[in-house]
Amino acid sequence: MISYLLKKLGYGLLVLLGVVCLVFFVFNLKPGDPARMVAGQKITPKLIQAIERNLNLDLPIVQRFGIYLNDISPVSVHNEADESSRIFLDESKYSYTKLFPVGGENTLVIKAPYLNRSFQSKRSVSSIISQALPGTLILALVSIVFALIIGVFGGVIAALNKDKWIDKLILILSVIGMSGPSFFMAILISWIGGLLWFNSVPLPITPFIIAAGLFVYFLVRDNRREESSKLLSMKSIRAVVKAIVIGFGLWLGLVLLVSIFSLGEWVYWSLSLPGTGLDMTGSLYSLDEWEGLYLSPRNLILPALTLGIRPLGVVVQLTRSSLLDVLKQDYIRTARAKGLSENKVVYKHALRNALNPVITAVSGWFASMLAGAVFVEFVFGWKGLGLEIFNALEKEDFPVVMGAVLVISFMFVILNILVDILYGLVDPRVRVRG
Amino acid sequence: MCTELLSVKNLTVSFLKDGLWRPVVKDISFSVNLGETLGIVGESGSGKSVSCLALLGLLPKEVARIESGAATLKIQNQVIELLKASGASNSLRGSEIGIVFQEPMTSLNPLFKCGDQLVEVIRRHLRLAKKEAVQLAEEWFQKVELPNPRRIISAYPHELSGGQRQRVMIAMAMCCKPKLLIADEPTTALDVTVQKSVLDLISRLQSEHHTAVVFVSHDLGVVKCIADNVLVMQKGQVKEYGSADNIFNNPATPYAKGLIACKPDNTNKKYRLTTVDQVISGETLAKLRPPINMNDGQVIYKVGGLKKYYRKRGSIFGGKSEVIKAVNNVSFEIRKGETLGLVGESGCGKSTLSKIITGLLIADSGVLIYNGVDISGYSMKDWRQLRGRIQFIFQDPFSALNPKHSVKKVLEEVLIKHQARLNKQERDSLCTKLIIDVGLSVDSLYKYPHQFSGGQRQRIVIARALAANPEFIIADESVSALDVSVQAQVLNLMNDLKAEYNLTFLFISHDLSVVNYMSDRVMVMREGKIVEQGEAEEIYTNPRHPYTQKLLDSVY
Repeated sequence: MISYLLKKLGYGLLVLLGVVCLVFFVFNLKPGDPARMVAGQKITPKLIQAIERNLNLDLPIVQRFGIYLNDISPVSVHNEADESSRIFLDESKYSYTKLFPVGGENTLVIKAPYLNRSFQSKRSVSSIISQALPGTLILALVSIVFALIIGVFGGVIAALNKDKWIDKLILILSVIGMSGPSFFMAILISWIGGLLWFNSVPLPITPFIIAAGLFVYFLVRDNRREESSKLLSMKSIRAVVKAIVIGFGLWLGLVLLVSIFSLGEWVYWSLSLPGTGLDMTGSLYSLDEWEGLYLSPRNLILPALTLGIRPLGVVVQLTRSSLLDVLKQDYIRTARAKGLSENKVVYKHALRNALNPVITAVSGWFASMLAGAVFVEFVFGWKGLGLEIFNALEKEDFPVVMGAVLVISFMFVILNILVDILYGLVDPRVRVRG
Repeated sequence: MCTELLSVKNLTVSFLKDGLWRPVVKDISFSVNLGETLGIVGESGSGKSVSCLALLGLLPKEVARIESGAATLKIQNQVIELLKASGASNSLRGSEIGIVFQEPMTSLNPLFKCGDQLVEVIRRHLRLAKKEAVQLAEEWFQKVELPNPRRIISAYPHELSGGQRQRVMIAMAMCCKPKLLIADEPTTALDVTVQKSVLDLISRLQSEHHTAVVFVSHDLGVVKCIADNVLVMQKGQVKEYGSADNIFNNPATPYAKGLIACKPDNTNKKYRLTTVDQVISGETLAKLRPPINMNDGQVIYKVGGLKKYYRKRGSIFGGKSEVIKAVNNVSFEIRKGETLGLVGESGCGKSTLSKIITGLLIADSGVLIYNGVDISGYSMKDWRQLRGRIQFIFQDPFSALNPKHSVKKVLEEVLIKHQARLNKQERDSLCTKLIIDVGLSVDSLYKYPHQFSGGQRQRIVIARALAANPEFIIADESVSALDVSVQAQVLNLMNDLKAEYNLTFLFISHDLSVVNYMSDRVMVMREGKIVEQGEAEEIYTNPRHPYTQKLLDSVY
């Protein structure tokens, strides 16, 4: 176990090193003069020179790369005495613990990786990222949990009713969810949830009355048809959905008839549904003039819905196909042969086996969500890593971009290791194969 | 003491295929008395498993339906209609009817511990507290002779061998002391020695608990040994039904006669195997077969000191790595024109060995000499040249052919590679000759693999091997997946072709009687080593190694 983890960590480090190289050379070899950008309006040759000296731009690129590596490595060598040294141990840059001197004025230290300062705001990149990260993390987590719960549930219903109309309905919806581009979905959802349905909406009650009547009728009919009085939960869900769909269909017909022949007003009876009251933009923390920063979780609903809709579609399809596959397995026949109830067969024996591909897919989605959902964060004005990267790219603020890319790849590596461990916990066979 | 327990009357089941409901079980009736064993025998597709599943209410609802018939189970003056109430059969399964399936490797849920899977049944039907249920489970693991029952309780299925898993299945089927045990090919996937011990276990538990057993099998030998009554099925119909003694000693129908006659162990090696069709068409005269051994003393292939070790890695959650000696110091020689048999149980290394001598695997050490040339250092490229001389017939005819290639394409591909000097016309005529030689009609050249039965596909695989114009053919479990009647035909074919094409065979199988019939010399392999080799007659009549004796003892 330990050696396995160490190996995985080793691979992870290699990946990170690759990313560091790529990021550094891409941003340092591209045309453009960072010194001018930092200087802003008041350009003087002297200032430019000072900035170049400060950003090490006067050195050859290989040396710059060395300094960059030294800066981001948690264990590094620094000069304690000479302030003009490029690797001077500057307390304003590093929070460090000294280990031991390594000859001359140099000493080895352990420190938090130093990611430089933003060209624009002059704030340290670490603080920018650590401020943006929680927003992204929470958004990703909430949307993936939403996708998992609803998706697995939908997949199970579809699989158990294979080829029936409810299965087809779920499949169509999931395909729509999967194929909707995120910027389009973001706009659509913010428009419906944040604008149309912001205030209370009238909800017709007649179709629901019809649906309730139909549902009772289905119950009675099914009970009479079958000897057992116990209804499977799936069956009642089916009955509910069926009743509502038919109810609405009938109601639409009635509305048509009534409006043509201008009969009674009763078909229009409605309750007013409370509005969502959701803002079309907003972050996890809102700023108030009197109360300062405060947590506003309701801002999470719309972006999480948007971000979760694609993984939701994938989870539905994966759960469905994987469950159908598992239900054909011999051990499911064994479970039935043991006389277990159908619910136990499905939820205990089949579902757990069916979830493996879902875990794989979801972990992949989650990892990419951590990179920040640029479109979604942009449309909803959600302060997260994606929005930060977007803004930084627009302003060519490369230290921020470089730092963000590094942090994201670091999280990818960690997440992959976690998923590997999770596999072992879920499936005992993986533990043996290694 | 002859109380009737189960009685089935006029059961008809049909399956949905290509949009039509086709009957697969037609109007069968039988009954089983308390404590008795009924053997249901038939070849694949005869409907024996389907009729059992129908009784249990386990048929897949979307594609199968019961057309007519009645089945009653009498338990303590209570008569239960099995086919009617779907809810009733649900609670009967596991409590009054125990079931053991064919495939122990896939019949247990891989994510749950064996103990939990057994406890689940006990708690469902006997309504015991968790602690008592675990205790009972351990007792049952003891009863089914599993080593170290306490450990098995917390072991996952993949940690157990096939035989052990089947014992867990038997424990699950028997733990609620059912009146009826339905065993659907319970030992087919197991090695012969394991098969014997599992069958002994079933009969012991049966007499202990006075259970009636419905034993489904394709293996007549097994059924002969354990059944009181036998039902012979063919294509969904009952061909013969009666006491085991009667059927095996004095079969009334030609089909049953044929089934019994076509087993290799009932045939003198000098004669061809009788096929079912022959018996049905009334041919009774046994025909002489071509001689097995046509060698002139020349050694075609010599193997010395062959070794292949695998390192089994430890798990990520701990555990030691160990070395598996798949092939451990194996030496033998094959003479031109003979058939050398290789027998061994699963995991003994026979497949690894066959891969090494055909160059599909490189041995760790050892010498391979083919026709006097040392080929041990051959690279994959050198081997490709040699493949024209050495060919392979695989076990599974269903996956050995590319479903997208017509038979003609399959054969032509080999001809172009290995007999490149032929022109198009010669190739065509050779394809025709090959397909006729393996006993198929010429128009099958333009068909695709899915249009053939298993036996026919194996003929195509043989034709493909012959197309390379080889002198040495390795047949690795080539007839194991086939029904006995088909197996007889294919074995006859292989012997005919051997004489016609002057071939040398290495015949690998787990089935001792088949190897005995086919080979003139036999090697017995165990745990990577050849434990005994010699003349077939000698080994079968006078085995010296205790393992060979044990193998021969377990044959039914």
